[in-house]
Amino acid sequence: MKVAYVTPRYGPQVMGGAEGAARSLAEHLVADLGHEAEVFTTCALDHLTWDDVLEPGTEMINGVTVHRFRSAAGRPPRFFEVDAALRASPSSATYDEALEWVTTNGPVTPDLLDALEASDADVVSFYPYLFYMTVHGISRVRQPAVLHPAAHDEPALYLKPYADAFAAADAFCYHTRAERHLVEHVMDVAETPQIVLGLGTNHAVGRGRPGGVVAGIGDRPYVVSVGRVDEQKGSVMLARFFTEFKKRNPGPLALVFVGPVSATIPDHPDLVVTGIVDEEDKWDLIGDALVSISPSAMESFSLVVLEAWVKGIPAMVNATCGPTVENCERSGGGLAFDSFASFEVTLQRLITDASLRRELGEKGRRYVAETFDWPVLIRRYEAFLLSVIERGRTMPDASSRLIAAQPS
Amino acid sequence: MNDGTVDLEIVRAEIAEEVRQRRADGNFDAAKERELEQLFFQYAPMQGRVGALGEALRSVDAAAFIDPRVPVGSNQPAGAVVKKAMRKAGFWYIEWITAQTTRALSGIARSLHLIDDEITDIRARLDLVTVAGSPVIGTASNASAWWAEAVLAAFNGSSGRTLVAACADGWLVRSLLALGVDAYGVDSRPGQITAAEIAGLDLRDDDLLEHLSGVAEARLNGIVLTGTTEALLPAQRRNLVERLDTVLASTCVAVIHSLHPDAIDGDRIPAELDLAGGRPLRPSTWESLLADRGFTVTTQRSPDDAEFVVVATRRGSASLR
Repeated sequence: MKVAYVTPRYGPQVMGGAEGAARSLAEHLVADLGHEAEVFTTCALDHLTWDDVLEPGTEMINGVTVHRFRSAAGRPPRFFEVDAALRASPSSATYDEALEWVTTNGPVTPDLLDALEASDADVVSFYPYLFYMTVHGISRVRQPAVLHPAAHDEPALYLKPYADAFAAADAFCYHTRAERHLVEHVMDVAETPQIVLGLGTNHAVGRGRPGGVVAGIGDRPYVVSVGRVDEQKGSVMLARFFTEFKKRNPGPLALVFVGPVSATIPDHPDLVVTGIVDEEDKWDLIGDALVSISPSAMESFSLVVLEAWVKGIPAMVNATCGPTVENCERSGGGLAFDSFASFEVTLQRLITDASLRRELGEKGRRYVAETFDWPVLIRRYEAFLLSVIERGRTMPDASSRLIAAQPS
Repeated sequence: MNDGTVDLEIVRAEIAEEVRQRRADGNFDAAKERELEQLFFQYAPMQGRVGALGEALRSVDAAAFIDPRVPVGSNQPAGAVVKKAMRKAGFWYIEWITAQTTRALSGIARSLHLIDDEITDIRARLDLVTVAGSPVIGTASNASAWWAEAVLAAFNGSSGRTLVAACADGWLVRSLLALGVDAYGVDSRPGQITAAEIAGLDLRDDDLLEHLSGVAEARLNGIVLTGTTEALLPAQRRNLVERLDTVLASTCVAVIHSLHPDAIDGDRIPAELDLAGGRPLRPSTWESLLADRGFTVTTQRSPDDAEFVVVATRRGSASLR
């Protein structure tokens, strides 16, 4: 089987997110099961500008063939004006207005789409739904198309061009049930074949250094928040909540942010921002934390919550984030907060009750091992892709796009 | 998976009670909490969730007060002093403006709260006369069920997308797939589908009516309704028929497997059905409903006469897709 992935950024420099998930699936299909994978992507690394910084062309990354194309346009300043105009009532935007949002959101990639059309892959996976290449690419491919939406409840999901893109998909691969329910609530695609797969978790590979030493805070106890340090990801809110918590609950406890930084976190003796760290340091930082906090309301999966459970660390998540709450409820490995008051009470309870922390962490660890361990997950994914290819071969009339691609 | 010694439900309840108690004791500064709430809800998704209006209103409340005290911090050595002097000089005017704005926003927020109260009240009243979801009446079914052969015969040669409602462990979906039918299933009963879903079948833990509301027009070429029609209330039954009109293609197969109404008299009624308040339709009613929609209908009764299956086929002149 040969699988093509279409994703706006790709490579080891891109941490987490949908692009990181696409890379994990591609690499595991190749390394674990011997399939072929190719990727159609841009030369960008920065999701805010989509500036071309990598060389265009084809390269191999961990057994995966990666085709990079320059973008005709990135994200111009006008995007923020368009976004502000549509944000309040996205479903009432006209098709053309919505299309302008898609275009200005970037990256605009006509060369990539031309090359994709010529791909000989058996199936094409678009990951995630939000970008130009998915909206304009999914109707152009001749093979069965799988959409990994990585959707969350954001204004863009309600823009009209996305309804067409979702309708053109031959199958969906979801991160969580919450994501599937959301998509089926917004789009009329409930009958389309699907799988709720989630993402695989890696085994912990720390160096065994104390997490406090890695963070530069010595033996102070700490809680950790791993992932992009970004205002929209809730990092600024978490910093504010935590400093208020410390004002009301003095002591040595610190909060350590781990990940690429695109928000301003205030200078504060109890806040530490490590920036990007290597895998070993990340696992050491997670492993010694009392609690792992995911403040984001807009996660489509949140691998970092599962990574905390790999190390048996309990999670605290934003109660308005369906996917992370779903994983906490299904696993019993975490608690949610919906206000500063509940943040304070929950955090106090967790940092003072070691047996509760142990039990939540253990439940999370078991849940991850049974559901998201790579050998289990990648086999399910392989069977799903093969079924999509088979369905495209034996039932081409299930897709108006595949009918059009049939030889006359 | 919550099988440890700590009951998470109790922990959550204790945390909620502690939050309530601290608020009641005035432990949190109200203005500070409003400011933090605004921050919390800034990027929180709101659409489509029960209680979302209330949450949105908490954020409106937090934003309704316009502070007349303009910040005076500055990076310049004398900047703060100058700003402070300017604030003092113009405070009477700024305060006059902000007081009116705050009053107007508070009035709007109050109106929205009244609407929220009304909606909450209406929802509570609706809950008294409706039931959420469509209950499944569990008749034991598997590949050797008396009606399975008739269903498989009806789908033989059919290839389109076919939904099996109350699919349980996916036994019928599996049989239909073996026939080459593009089948999938839904079952809202907890734990029914888990193993088969992990094994790779396209099964979802969804309610039937909710699922049908998300299916695109004329996208289903087949549907099997077993155990899902008996307990529907009249409004739900109307909704089901309307959705079937929308989602079924012109060429399709529809199967209704149900308890017979004559079989549920006295104490023979299943508890779920008794609780739900609905009652099964007669086979002749289904025959009439489906014949009116262009179906050719055949009906069989179970050997003990307690159940029936209506198999309806329709061959349209062209697919609606």
